[in-house]
Amino acid sequence: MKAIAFFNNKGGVGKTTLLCNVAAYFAQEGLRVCVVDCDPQCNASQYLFHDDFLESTFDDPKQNIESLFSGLMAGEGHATQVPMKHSAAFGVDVVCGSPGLSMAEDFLAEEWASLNTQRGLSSTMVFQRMLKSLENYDVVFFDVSPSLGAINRTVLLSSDYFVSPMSIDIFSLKAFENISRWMDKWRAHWEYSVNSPLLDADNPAVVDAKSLTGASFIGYVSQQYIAKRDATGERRPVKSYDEIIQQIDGQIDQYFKGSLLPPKPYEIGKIPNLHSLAPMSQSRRKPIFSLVAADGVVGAHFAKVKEAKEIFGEVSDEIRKRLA
Amino acid sequence: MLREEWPEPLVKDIARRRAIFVIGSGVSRHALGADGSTRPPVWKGFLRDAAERFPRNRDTEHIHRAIDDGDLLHACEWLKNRYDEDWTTYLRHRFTDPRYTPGRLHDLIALLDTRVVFSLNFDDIYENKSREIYEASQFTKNYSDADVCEFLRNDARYVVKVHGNLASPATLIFTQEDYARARIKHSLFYSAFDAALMTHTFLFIGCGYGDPDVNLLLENQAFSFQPGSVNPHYFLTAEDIADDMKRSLRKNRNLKTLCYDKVDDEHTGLISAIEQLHSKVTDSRSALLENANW
Repeated sequence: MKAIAFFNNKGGVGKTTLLCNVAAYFAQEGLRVCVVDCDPQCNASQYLFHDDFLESTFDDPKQNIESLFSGLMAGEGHATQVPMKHSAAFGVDVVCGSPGLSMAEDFLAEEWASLNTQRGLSSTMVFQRMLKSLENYDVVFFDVSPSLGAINRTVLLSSDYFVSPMSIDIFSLKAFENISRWMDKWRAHWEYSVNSPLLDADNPAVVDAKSLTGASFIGYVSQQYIAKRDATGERRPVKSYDEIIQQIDGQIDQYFKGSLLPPKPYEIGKIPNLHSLAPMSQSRRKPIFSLVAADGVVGAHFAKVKEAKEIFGEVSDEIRKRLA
Repeated sequence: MLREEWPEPLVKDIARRRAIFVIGSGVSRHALGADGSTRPPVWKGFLRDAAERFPRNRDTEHIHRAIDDGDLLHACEWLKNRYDEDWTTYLRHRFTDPRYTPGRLHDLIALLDTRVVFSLNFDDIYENKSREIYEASQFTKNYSDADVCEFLRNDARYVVKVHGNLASPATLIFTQEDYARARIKHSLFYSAFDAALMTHTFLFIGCGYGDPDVNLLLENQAFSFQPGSVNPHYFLTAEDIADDMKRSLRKNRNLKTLCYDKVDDEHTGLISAIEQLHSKVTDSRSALLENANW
């Protein structure tokens, strides 16, 4: 089993759309896939399930990701069961998100501050514990919020890999500098803490903790440049896209070292502007490439749906290759 | 490539699906037979080849002369009579048997997704391509269908066969006689065509300007309103048309001529011109998504 987080600290870059469609593609290829929604905004859950179904899972913390934390926060230890739902349209199992998960942000931050205690260490390994019970899946996808917060740190600590979905703009240039600084900092802190003499080195949790080093970066997926005209009616030259791509690669070279340096090319693939297909797929709760006439596809959009299947297929194949 | 820029009003009308393409044998020409070399004949070439079957003598010379002079409808009528019961076989031999595969041009025209395409061709090359792309949302209508006018108001995609289809050769229109008969017998189609010309912008691709029906309709409209007060329809061609002719087309039929460089004998210049149009229309549709002003 491999765990991959889709992570970028800039929002609105098509993260959830990419994750859910790649997950669906993996599932179609015959892999056993689990999606864990660790974003309190719950975009992935909303994409994967209809509202009436979600309403009941949101109302009951035992049915969603909150269940991992309720026991921990009450000091009663780790949950024994992971609440699993199945999305038939996407062919994946899902640990649904919850707006209540935002409560875990403060909790995990506090526990991080006491990493040198058995309890702090154990709480911080909450996703590690969860992944152990998901061993029978081939791959687990984590959807996370666009932040450099405690939940994301905890997810990235226990994941094997992370992929960065991003848009090609100047903000994304800064994003990798932020991500690398943040990850370097907490990875060093983690390294230092788990080797603290205050911890019992023979304790199984401590042994586990020492094996954790955090997710490796396997590359980014860009939202493809859309040809737009500027105020003077000039078409923005394609060059600027290539320039930003090159600068992004330069930033990765500059800031990521060791396991954080992805294999080349750093760009895993490009997702073009899918126009109305993305919202259509969200409202129909279906992967983009499964949309049919009854969902509202007409005319030349059928060609776009086929194209989307190829595009997500290529990105998925490349991600799969990089998991090896 | 187009020699000038694609006119903005045309791009906008296509983006809003208020345009209708008319495709002629110049579009079919971009398909390729299963043998990798045969291409569907253009109109004149087809008639010339058909005339080859008979010895050239006093009895047939007028047919050749008619073809040379561009009196294609009479030439066709006389050839059809001579072929008699072999005519359908000969037509299918030229237009169906080579098993044509649509080309990139067919692809692009379909992807432009104008909702309605008028086809002057007897073959079904374009319909096959667009059905592959539009799937369930496409219908083919024959000019002779009792409900042919539904393309005007329904929201599906339509290919309208203006001159019939080789699937039913009895309904093909291409001789002088066929034209006259169809105008009277299938007046529903001609009123729908007239209404379409009034409400939509037409772009003629791969067509000549000699189609008598189309000309009648265009002329009727061109002279029923103040010249220059209504946006023109567009006629796309690689031929060197004299400026005098361009002015006449504009004045008498409200047709604006757009010229492309054909680049080579395969007319790859047409493909790049339509590619350019496609990217302009895509931009324009993205803008419509933002301002919702369709």
